[in-house]
Amino acid sequence: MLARLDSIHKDYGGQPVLRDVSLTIDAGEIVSLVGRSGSGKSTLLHILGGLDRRFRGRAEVLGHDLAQMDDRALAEMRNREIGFVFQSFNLLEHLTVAQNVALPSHFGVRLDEAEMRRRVERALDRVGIVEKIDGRPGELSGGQKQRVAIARALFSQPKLLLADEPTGNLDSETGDHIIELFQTLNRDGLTILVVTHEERVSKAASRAIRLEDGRVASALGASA
Amino acid sequence: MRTGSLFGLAAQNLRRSRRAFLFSVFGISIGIASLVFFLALSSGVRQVLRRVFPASQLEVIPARSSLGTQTGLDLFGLGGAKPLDDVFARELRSEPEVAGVFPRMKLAFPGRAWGGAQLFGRNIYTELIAEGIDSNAMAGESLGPEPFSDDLGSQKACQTDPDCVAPEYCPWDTRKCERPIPATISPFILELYNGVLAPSHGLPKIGDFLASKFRGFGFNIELGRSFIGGASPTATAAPPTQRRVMLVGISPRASQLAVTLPLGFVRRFNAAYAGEKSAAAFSSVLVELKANQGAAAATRIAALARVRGFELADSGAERASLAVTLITALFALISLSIVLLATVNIAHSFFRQVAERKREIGVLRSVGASASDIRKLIVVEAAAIGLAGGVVGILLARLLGFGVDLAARSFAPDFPFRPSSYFSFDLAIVLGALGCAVVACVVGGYFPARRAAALDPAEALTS
Ligand SMILES: Nc1ncnc2c1ncn2[C@@H]1O[C@H](COP(=O)(O)OP(=O)(O)OP(=O)(O)O)[C@@H](O)[C@H]1O
Ligand SMILES: [Mg+2]
Repeated sequence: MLARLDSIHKDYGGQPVLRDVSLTIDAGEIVSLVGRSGSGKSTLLHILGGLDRRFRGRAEVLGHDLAQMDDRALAEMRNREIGFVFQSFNLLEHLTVAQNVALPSHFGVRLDEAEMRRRVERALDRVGIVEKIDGRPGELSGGQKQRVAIARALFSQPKLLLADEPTGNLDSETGDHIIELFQTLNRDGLTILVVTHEERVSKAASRAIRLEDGRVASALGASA
Repeated sequence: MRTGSLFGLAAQNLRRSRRAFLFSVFGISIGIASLVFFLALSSGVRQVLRRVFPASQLEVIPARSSLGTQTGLDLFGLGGAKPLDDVFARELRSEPEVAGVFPRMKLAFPGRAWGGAQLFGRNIYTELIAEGIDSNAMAGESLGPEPFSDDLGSQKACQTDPDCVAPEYCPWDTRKCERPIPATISPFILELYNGVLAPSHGLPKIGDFLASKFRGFGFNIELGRSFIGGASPTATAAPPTQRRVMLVGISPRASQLAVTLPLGFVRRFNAAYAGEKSAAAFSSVLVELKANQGAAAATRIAALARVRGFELADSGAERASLAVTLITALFALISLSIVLLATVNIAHSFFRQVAERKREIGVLRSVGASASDIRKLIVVEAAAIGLAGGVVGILLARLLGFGVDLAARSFAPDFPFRPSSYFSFDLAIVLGALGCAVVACVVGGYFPARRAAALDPAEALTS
């Protein structure tokens, strides 16, 4: 078991968003999180990734009890053990591709220039876009941007990758390539949770968790 | 977050928002430039003041507003200006802050002087304004060719000058060989001459070279006779006599506006022409404080003088210094208001940037930035603006000062104690201004930084 949520409750100003959500994610899984818009998928992903501390219930991720961690400890966990991928890529336009990929290094242990470059190259190599290393985000297509964003998420060699609608801004063919990439990464041992409302994306997962109105409606697939 | 990364990220951010950066730097640099400009000007003016009014010198004088002499209440011998004599001079000498005590005595009767043909090409005629000072006052000065002492010379009987060994001469009233009276003048007189007299009378200025040449420069004085009133009635009706005077140097202990002679000469002349009484009391006592003594020592000496019935002469130094302080304070206040405006501008600019960069802050949080990392990042950006603004401001002030000096050199007339530069960019001013710039910007950046750090990362990412 890599992550486990137990009776998670979350509301925004009295409006419940997550109600009694419990689930587990095992190491090596690729899990899809599906549900209608507003059902609480992103909220759940943020809680799992230690970006959102304001919830009730028990959340255990990578052996950490999230409720017990302060801001700094959560930041360190995000830096070392978790990678985030977003729908809108969220690259910093004023930095080069390499600088974007190396962004996590600013908040982690010190790396020398050569080691940094080596890691950036390795991350870009894994997503198949190492030739763009000295480019700028503005020069890239959507699919390429998302690959750079994934490379950034992989930079610290995390154990868990959290992706929120990674194909949402991409055409279907490009999206398929990203999903294939996820499958490859998963085969190499990375545990992935991917939020989506695209059928074909969730099909690629080993299991799907459906949220409805802030509740887990069904857990389908391998471990269900 | 490591320091190197902090500076690296801050630099990347500043480079991106170059326009906001330059605008903020410009704002703060104007305030700092104005602050440095006025502080340096004030410091420069103070240095001139210190040359005009040496801070280590005090002058004790008899109390001016004594009841007795003004109202005739001296009947009971209670009032009246108390004579300044050796008793008080001795008491002053025993004070720990005091390096030296030198009684002065004014020439108490009219006299006149003429000479200068060797130096100026023609003789200059003037009333004699002279004062005697304890000859020890000149002990530390490099004087020449004659020593500054009360010594009259060989006093050998003579009929004419050739009977005496130069520089001694034969005064017609005593017929005894006598050496010229050694005299010193203050730097103030030299400045006054160079700044006012020389230009207006077409005379050569006395620079360092001439100042050394004019040592040994001699002139004549006639005691008991004035250009203003011809032969003046003196208290003793002594006939006028002539003496020779020789300038032996320039000293800050010399009287500001009088030719300064050894006290013994003035005492003898006063006794002869103004009566014994005027030879008994000093007109003032010069007190030289030890080098490390500050204003507190001066205040203490002033108090002591008052207790004994005397007071300190008002050299104008205090009033001048107060005026400089007030004007400096006023302009520093104006400058600080500009700095404050810049601070507000920086705060405003950062608040806007935080709002614009909300999602970016979320991204940084997602890759491992803690709330305090975000806060530090923005504070460092603000500090960098302060540093840049400070440096630019200081350079601007220097440039402006240079321009003012240049303009003054070309357009302003010469005047006493005219400095080569009106500014003194002291290290303390420069470092203080730099610190002020950084602090102002950090204060401006602090509140936006706190707001940025307080952003909920999940919310920032979905904004
Ligand atoms: N910062 C916020 N303040 C108030 N309400 C919020 C906030 N963020 C999310 N919500 C609400 O919480 C609910 C769940 O939002 P969430 O973003 O988790 O949904 P989602 O399943 O990711 O939707 P989508 O598929 O559109 O991304 C929504 O009703 C949303 O309006
Ligand atoms: Mg969402």
